[in-house]
Amino acid sequence: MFAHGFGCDQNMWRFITPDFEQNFRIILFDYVGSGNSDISAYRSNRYNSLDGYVQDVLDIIEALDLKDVIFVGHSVSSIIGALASIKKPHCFKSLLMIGPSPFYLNEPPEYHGGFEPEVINELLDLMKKNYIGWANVMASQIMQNEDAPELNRELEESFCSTDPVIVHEFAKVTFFSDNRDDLPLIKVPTLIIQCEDDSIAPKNVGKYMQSNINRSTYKSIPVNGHCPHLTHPEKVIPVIDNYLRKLLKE
Amino acid sequence: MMHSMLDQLPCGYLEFDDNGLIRQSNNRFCKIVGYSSKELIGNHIKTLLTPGATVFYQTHLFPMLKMEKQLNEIYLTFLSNNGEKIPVLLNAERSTEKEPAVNRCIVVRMQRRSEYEDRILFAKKQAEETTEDKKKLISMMSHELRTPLSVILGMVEMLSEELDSDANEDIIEYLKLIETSSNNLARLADDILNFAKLETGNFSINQEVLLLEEVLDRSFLIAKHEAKNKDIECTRGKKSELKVFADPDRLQQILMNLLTNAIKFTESGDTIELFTDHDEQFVRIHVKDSGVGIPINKTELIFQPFKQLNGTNAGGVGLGLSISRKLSREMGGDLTVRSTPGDGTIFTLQLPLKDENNAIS
Repeated sequence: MFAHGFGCDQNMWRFITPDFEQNFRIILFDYVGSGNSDISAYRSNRYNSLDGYVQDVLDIIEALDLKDVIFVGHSVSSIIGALASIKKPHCFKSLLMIGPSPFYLNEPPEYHGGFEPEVINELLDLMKKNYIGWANVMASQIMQNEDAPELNRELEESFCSTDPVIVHEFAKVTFFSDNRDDLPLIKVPTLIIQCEDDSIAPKNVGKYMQSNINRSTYKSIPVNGHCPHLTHPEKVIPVIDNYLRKLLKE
Repeated sequence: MMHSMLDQLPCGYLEFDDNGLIRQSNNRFCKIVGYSSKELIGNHIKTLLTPGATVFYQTHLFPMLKMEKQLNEIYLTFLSNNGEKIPVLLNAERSTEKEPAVNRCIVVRMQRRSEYEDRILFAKKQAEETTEDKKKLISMMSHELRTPLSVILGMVEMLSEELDSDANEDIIEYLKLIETSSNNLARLADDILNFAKLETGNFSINQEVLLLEEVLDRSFLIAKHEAKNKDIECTRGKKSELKVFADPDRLQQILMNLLTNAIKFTESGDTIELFTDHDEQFVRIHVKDSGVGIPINKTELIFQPFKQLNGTNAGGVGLGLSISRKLSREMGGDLTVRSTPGDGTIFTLQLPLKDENNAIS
């Protein structure tokens, strides 16, 4: 099961999944508010914490009656997958995390998530101006008006479409959630894939993840950026492949 | 040659590769960020972005550019050599014709527009917050009013029961006055509360298949009683066996609003008529009065909240019709009005007839 991170949709996996189609059943999905999801299903009180997204993952697993799920999560989805595996460990075979972080803010002296709250607020402002600023009227119509399919289509036509209001709330949930205490509760084998130079999930955060997850493996790849599965799929695929080979042999 | 052309462009130009490393820039861009071309080439684009913009670049801008190949009107904040934040608008296109792929951008500085947008967004946010606060206040106030009113009405009822037949007439009249005024106030509080609920979406409509006649009869009887006190005659059109798909409580609320209004604006000795007609899909319930009527250009105004026609204040705040229309529409119907000044008014409530798909019985 491939779960996209904050900022895009399931298309992010398009360079990765073909290599695994032969040996695995591939499950791709968009979170509510991203990609071609049904925006009318969005409820603020469900998605005002990661729990709503966790429940979505568990709902998919239940609906498709999935067992031994290998959950590949990018960025915030790594944590969503981890929380889902804590709730129902028997459903998961393994967690594969790409650029994960349990908490993005700095909490000196013990923890350096990489960000001060002002940076996250600046990002939220940028997103507001890029999406909500000019699209808010359209967005609020979509949110409230189910009988305006032409507006929905307009969003759907965009390849990497996201609903501006929802993605803004998703950003807040992503960057302000603190899941450090959940890491020791993860019971399934976990692979942490880290880019050498990732300003969103810095190396020390990857190491922190590794030291707090019991059965974890840490793999750094010589790439910069936060989306190696998009920018350098040729570096990510062998890492996943090697890990799965070993895991499935055990 | 190429360089001189780029330098003549009336906008900033920037090229970077998939690793985010800057490959080319023109003079205008160098001027915007305050670096020389030499200083820029080979550096990562994130060194030119504010921290928030760096996250945006990594999570949105670059992934989208890689997949969509083109981006338009992206708002971004660059960081100049002297630490100044520079808001820009960026269009980008990705070329994969040759290896390695190259991402080309044009950059336009937008200082004033950015400030203007910020102000608009701020004003919008403030307006939304104020509206929200107002809605909450209205909802809370009407709720708080309703509670003591219920106590007053209960006490008046108890006192009335305690009084025997030879009680002082003045006392009976005073009690009646308290009761009438409290009832008016309670209706007002209910209207405001209903309106607040409708505005915030905090209400529910429970539609079911029901015999129209049952609700019409009930409402008509109550109205007839009120009309009699004012010496107004109430008449009923032909009864029917029609079944409608509606919320019985909401339907009665609308009917009572229409009938009470009709009584309010009809002179003693005149008549009010309640009758229906229907087609295959809808039933139309008409409430006709013989009052002063409504000027043609004001027939829509009366459905707007807090709007009343001049000189027609009869104890309300002008919410009843607004609420009734909203409720009608929520039930798949509508509320309209036809009026001839001096010759009365007809309010028409249209409701869907029993839909076979929703039929319970």
